[in-house]
Amino acid sequence: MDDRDGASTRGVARVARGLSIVALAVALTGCANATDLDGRLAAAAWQAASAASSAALGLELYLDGSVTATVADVTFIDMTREAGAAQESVTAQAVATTAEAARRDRLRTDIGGATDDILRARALVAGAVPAAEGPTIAAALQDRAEGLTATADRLDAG
Amino acid sequence: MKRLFAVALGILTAIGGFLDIGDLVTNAVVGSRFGLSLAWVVVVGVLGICMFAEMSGRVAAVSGRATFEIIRERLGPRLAAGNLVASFLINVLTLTAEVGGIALALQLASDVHPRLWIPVAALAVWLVVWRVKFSVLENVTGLLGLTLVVFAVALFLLGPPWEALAADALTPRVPAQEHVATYWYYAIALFGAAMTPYEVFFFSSGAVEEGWTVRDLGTARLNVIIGFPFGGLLSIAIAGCAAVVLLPAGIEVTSLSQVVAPVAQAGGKLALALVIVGIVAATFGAALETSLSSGYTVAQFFGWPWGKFRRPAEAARFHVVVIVALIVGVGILMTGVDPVLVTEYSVVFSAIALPLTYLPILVIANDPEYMGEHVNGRLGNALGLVYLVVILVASLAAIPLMILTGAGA
Repeated sequence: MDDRDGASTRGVARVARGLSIVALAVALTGCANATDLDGRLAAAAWQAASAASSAALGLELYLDGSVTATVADVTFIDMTREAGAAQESVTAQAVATTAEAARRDRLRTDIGGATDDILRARALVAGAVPAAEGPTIAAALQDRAEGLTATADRLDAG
Repeated sequence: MKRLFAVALGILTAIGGFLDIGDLVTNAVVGSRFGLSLAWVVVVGVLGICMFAEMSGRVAAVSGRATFEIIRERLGPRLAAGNLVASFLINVLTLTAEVGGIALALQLASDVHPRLWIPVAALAVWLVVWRVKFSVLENVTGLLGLTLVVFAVALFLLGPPWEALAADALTPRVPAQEHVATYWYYAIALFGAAMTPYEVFFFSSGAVEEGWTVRDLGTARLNVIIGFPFGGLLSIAIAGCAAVVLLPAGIEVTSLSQVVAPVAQAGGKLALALVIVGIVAATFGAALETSLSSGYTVAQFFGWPWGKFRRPAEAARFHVVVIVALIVGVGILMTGVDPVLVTEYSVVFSAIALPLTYLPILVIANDPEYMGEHVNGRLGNALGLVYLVVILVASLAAIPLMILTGAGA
């Protein structure tokens, strides 16, 4: 009986050890890759660039009749959420110098601009913006994506 | 003629039923970030699932019993209990991802928020599990899932630079903008997506549901050996579409609307309609399989009556487990967690649990007491052992790589 109890206790201890390793792993996953400000800003810039580029593609497909208004709208909803997540990530960064604050604020403004353009695209699909403005909005989104990609490259290069 | 039709139907449903939300999302994510440089992982994964699915189907056909029933008997309740816990948790996580996938696909068709579709999708899954015959649910979802062939058609219509794509696939390398650790993290995710454990439990339990005998072994082998590789080609086509359209545009896939964009670009609204139907069918079919697999594993472990060949009243506990798994899945999704994120985690955790699923199958397929003259041959065992090593390495590397890469960020 004692042996069985001992084995059972050891078994529970093994399971507890295993679970604590997994818990630590999951906790560390959230902290990983969060070593420097520029790296984190670059990641947010990539995320926003991807969202802007995706919205541009979605709008182009809608304008040439390849997707329904429903699919285009869902694309813009998804990309607004992505850009919003990037914006939140930038806003949450603590800065130590005025130069860092300037870099953070400039990126926040750029992502905000991209979000505005995605929302204009959504408004166009809903009929609240004239369809004739479509190519202009698509081009603006493409420019935003290129600008954010360049920013991400610059930040990654340090 | 009737037999030929049965073989063709089996192969077609194996192709159409091969893809699930894990394959759809992971292949699109990988294609948009790594091009076709990870296509080799799909090949390795498909060969592995072919081998182990054939083994588990053979075990069921020869012994007349599903894999999990024998696992407990052969390995003892303690080892089998660990296996059960891991398999059940992965099943529920995968089921959660599939129900989320149905809701996301229906959002693409309706613009109604996925959170409103989630309970509807889960209810529909339960009703089908409860009321519809096994062969009907398997064949209908499998055949409708065939519309995902539109990914392969789209890849041709996009007119990609074939030489560059082939070079990318045949001489794998880590793209300049990606880290080596991220490359291997996604290799494991892709491997986990191709070798998802529920497929094996469903395949072996399905063999019992359909009353396979030794005489059906040939048909079962054809289904697996022809059907699954074609399903794997569709996986590569999904990655190919993303590599051709999304990668050059700097788009990293984070949503289902991005997964379907290359198909719409290639084939317009008709192709878009087909791909949405295909995604609904694939995720719905996989939700049926994972919810049934949850019931199969638990009922088979405890020795309860199970299966759709029995009336629900005769397998009440089996059906209760299916309902509980669905309710847990819906509960997770209703917290507002992103179904795509759940999918990405589910394929990686599947990879972690792979040894627990595949080692017992290899052990049982070698046991003459269960298999008689149908035990594994030397080649099968050699390949099985090689795969076990690969599976073990992938399983051990998954969590460290997850930490190192911030879950592939």
